Amino acid sequence: MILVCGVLADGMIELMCARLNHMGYPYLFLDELRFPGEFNLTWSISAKGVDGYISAPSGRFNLADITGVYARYVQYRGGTKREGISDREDELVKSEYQASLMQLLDILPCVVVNRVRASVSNDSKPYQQLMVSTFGFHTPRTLITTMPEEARAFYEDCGKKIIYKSLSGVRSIVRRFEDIDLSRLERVRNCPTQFQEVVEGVDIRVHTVGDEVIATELTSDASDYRYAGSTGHALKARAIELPEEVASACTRLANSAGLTVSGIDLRRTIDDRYFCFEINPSPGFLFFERASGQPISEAVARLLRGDR
Amino acid sequence: MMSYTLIIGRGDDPCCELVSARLRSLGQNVMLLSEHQLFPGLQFAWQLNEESYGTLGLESQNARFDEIDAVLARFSGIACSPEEFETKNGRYLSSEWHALIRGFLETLPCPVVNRLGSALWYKPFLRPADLMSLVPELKFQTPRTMVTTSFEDALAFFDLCGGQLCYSPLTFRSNYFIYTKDAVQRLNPLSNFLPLHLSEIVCGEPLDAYVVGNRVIFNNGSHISGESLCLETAASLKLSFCHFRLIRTVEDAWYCLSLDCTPSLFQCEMKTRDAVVASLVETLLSGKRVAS
Repeated sequence: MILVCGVLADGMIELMCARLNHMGYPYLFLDELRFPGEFNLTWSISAKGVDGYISAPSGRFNLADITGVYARYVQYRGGTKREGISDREDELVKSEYQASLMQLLDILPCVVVNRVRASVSNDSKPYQQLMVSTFGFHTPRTLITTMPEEARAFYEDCGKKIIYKSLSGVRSIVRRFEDIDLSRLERVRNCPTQFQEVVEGVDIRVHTVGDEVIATELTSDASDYRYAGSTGHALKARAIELPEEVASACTRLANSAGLTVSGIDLRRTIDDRYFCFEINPSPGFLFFERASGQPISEAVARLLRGDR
Repeated sequence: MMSYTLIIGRGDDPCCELVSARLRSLGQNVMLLSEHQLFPGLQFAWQLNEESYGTLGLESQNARFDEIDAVLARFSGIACSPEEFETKNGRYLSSEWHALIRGFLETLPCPVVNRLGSALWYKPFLRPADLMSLVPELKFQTPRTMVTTSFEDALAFFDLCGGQLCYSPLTFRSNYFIYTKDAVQRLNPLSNFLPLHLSEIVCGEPLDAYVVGNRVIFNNGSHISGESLCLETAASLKLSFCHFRLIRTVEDAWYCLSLDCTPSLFQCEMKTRDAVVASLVETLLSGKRVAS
């Protein structure tokens, strides 16, 4: 039995449920919008391990029978607020229910895509940058600063080809820094900001699924290929094979982060160097599967069933 | 070349205050980053390329990263006032500060008390279930624990635990002890609002133990068998400063009720507090360069 946790409005949850249906793999979809209520949970832990069950409209399912979990850690959306409690209390109640589920996923002995505790390194891009560099990847020249004069000097040093982006996962949009932005540099005093040298090359998204590596090369005339469709630009996506040492570095990186499935953003330069920008713990592979036709969700489904 | 001990936390945290005062009395340079008063004001520049280097300054103090010899890290990741934290910008600033400081601590080669692994970033307070998932080789015993949305299952667990148990919220550090059948009935209405996180009450002597570097400081005497369990558990989580709440049973079994990776010294007896502070200072100074 495979457990899928999330909300159906999330395209990734919809994809995984559809894929599991298509492959004929039995699964239970725990709809977080209906938990608690139609779905309930009891688990206990002792020296013997974890024990318990999930009750659902379709029956009662023992945790011991679960071979794999696919979970998306989303905020509860659209759930009704209980009467007689404040917004703050409502937030706390939801945190408690989410914690009851997340803590279970952290201790279940089966494959979990992905455990919460493995997913947080993505909240600090500098931390991740240090981590990826230990696996032999190149990383872009970077400045993190609260000092406008340092940012200005870095811009000049990099031949005026830099981008800026957040340090955390919040408001994580990459933007090109231009001369016109120089007048706004004083603002970095209020909040540390990350600047990076532009690395020219071809974008590659690597999905690691257990030990399997699925690489997709992306070419687009849009500044960010992810927004090619919405900005009227063309996007080409094709399956590629990575050099063995790069593929191996990807799986070692994902294993070291504790991620059973990951999305790694690489860029290959004209002189065949591989830069790594990020390892995503909850990759939206729907986009890449649609664009390239690669069977990523099938690989995830097989992993969840314990086939590998 | 100057040498600094960096303390990151809040100025009104007794641990930050006492350690800073002790270090200054020993003639050490202390730079205190009080995290809710840093922006604007903090002068920070960090270049990451094949090498990592940078500078850090606040008011009249300035240090290159290689002049930082030790760090006491006690920050919460909230870089603004509670009122500002309710705003989008306040939360964004805090996310950015948190992301920055996690990476920054990782790049420093000096002792950092504590340099938390990412699994502990949002979980500085560990209960038995957390400990069992993070420390698979845990040698402490732990109380049986249940999480349930069913009052009937809670009642069955109450009976299994001999008619006494403890309810604790999953996201708060409070405990409510339940010793009677009447009291357990109060969980029924609560179960309509919250999941029930319950644990058995273990009878024995309650003890507090602080691990600081290689030392274990108990609030009450010394306990060789418990000491090694504390040190092993702290080492497996790469913690050089933490607080255990323990129970020693009459059979000399050691139960761990919780582990705090950012111990507060508010409730410590003065003797324990002084010993903890002295050991923290010793640990921080152990990485100091010999002045040249």
